[in-house]
Amino acid sequence: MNVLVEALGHVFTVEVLLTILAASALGIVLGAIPGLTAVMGVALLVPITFFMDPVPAIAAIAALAAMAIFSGDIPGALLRIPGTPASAAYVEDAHAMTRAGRPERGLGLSMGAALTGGVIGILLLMFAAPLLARFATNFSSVEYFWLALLGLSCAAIVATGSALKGILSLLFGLWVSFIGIDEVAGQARYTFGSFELMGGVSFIPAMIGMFALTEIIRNASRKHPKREAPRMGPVFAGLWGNLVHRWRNLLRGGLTGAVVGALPGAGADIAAWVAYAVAKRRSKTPEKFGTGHDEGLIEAGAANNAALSAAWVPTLVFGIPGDSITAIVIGVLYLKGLEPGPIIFVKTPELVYAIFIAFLLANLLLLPLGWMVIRAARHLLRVPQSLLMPIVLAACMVGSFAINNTVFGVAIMLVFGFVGWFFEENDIPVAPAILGVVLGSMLEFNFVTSMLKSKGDPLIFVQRPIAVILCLLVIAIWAAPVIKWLRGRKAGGEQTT
Amino acid sequence: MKLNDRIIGLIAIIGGIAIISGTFGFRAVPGQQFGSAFFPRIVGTATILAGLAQIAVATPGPLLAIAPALRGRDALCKLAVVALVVFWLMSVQSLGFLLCTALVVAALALILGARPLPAAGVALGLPILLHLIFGTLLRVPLPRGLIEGWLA
Repeated sequence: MNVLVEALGHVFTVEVLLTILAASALGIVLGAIPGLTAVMGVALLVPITFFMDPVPAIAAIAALAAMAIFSGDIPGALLRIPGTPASAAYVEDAHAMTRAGRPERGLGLSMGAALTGGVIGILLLMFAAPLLARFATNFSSVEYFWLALLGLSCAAIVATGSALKGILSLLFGLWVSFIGIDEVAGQARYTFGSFELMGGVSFIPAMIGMFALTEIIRNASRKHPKREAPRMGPVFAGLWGNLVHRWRNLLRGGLTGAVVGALPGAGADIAAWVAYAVAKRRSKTPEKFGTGHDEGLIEAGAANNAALSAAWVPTLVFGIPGDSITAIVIGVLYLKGLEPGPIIFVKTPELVYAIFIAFLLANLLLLPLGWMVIRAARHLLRVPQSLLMPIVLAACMVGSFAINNTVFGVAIMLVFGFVGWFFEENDIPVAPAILGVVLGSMLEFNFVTSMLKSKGDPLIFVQRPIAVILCLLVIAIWAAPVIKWLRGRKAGGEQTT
Repeated sequence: MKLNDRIIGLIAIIGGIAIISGTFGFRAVPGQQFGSAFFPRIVGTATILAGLAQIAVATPGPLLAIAPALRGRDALCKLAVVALVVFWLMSVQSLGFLLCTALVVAALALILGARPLPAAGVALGLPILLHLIFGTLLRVPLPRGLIEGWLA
């Protein structure tokens, strides 16, 4: 109880409340503008949070991400251009409502679903994370090795698109994690004689490059389609009744999102697609999906915000990022001297609870800010790309510079921006690479530590019950696509004969 | 710039070989079985195998396909983004943050088709705003140049 009171004291200060409000406003505007994503917003916010205390810094990231994921629905509904990848699953339904002359209905439902899903995700985070953390305090380097491997495996296999390209992306990320001085042997690896690379690749400039510069390169064009959004009716009219009528979809979407989001590497976009598919399968009218029907929109809209909160469970408890945003959060936690893992729940529980409360506040702010941004959407969509992209580019450069006060950060941003763009052009998912960068050193460190403990006996990795369970999970994840491929071949063979 | 999966596989194989060959200079730690080269070699080997698998499953098609968005003026716009970041990198220490950022912002806005007046407004206002946030409030030592010298 004392911890909770202390946490409330951390959050209910003018500084933190204003930070949450400002980050929420920024997130809701960023998400509503096509081409600016939630991850990009978070990457650009980090250089500013670098100078804040831990609670406002993390609260700002949580608030910005929650708002941007919701407001990504706005260009999706009005223009059929999903503002963030997490809005893509139900863009047809939302846009069909706009074409039918009721844009406020789709956006109102999205807002209600996002709020409900977000709260479900936070409740899961609040209850599951401390329980898991208590359990995880007994973990040794062996369990952490398997957890890191599980996170990497999920990232590569669960990622959207080809599993093989996911693996290639992951291997690239792992290689990047080797750059710098090896902490165990003190050996400089792949530094190419650069003094600046001795400490490894600076993570935040790399993220700014991969998520923000990539978007700028992609959107750099002289062709700008004219965007005319329709006028908006009253957003709240009939909203409550519609949401109550679809309470099953709301609840199921929230839970689906929370479960998918808690998987390492599976973020809000995958959660939305899974929830949309579940909604369609369970619906009495699946033929209406994609034609302006509300079931899929509500279920997937709840799922993406729930996933966003749930992704913090593995992040805070094990130090394994649930998605790209929490991968950046891990970098921020380290910068703030807070090592994510079960010990954070023992050493500084008030900070963890403060983060939970800030998350809840940010989600509750969705209602007033969401309403305001829906009303202002027509004007936001008119912001010309020709002015927006130079603004974002300047923010990228100054942000990358500010992390280490060196232009080398900007060079890293440029290199990773090009890599991110190349990946995107060739359908190679970016998320596995990011998890590889974050988890590579954790995997290697725990492997070497375990082998040193066992004097080179690899059986140490399967001598503890939890380690065996985690090992089996890793095997299952890698076996699943192989079995699927073999079944596909068998089915194909039977069809031809 | 979409490369055929065979080319991607080939790049992965070359990358894997480079990762492994980079480990040959790593010194072994006495008494330690798994040195600095152990994990990079696993990753290098896995990259080669994944590259081979990528080549095996690749569908036939052109080795390189240039999307319409990468042709003509649009390609130049994308190149301009990269060139302007390189320009900023090379000249920010001598020109200073304000002037260098203003030039980059103005150039990119005009290249992307913005009208001169709004482009000039953003190019003048944005560097000052960023300097206020990062240089003044957050005390980041942004590179000083001509304009910063006059202002000081």
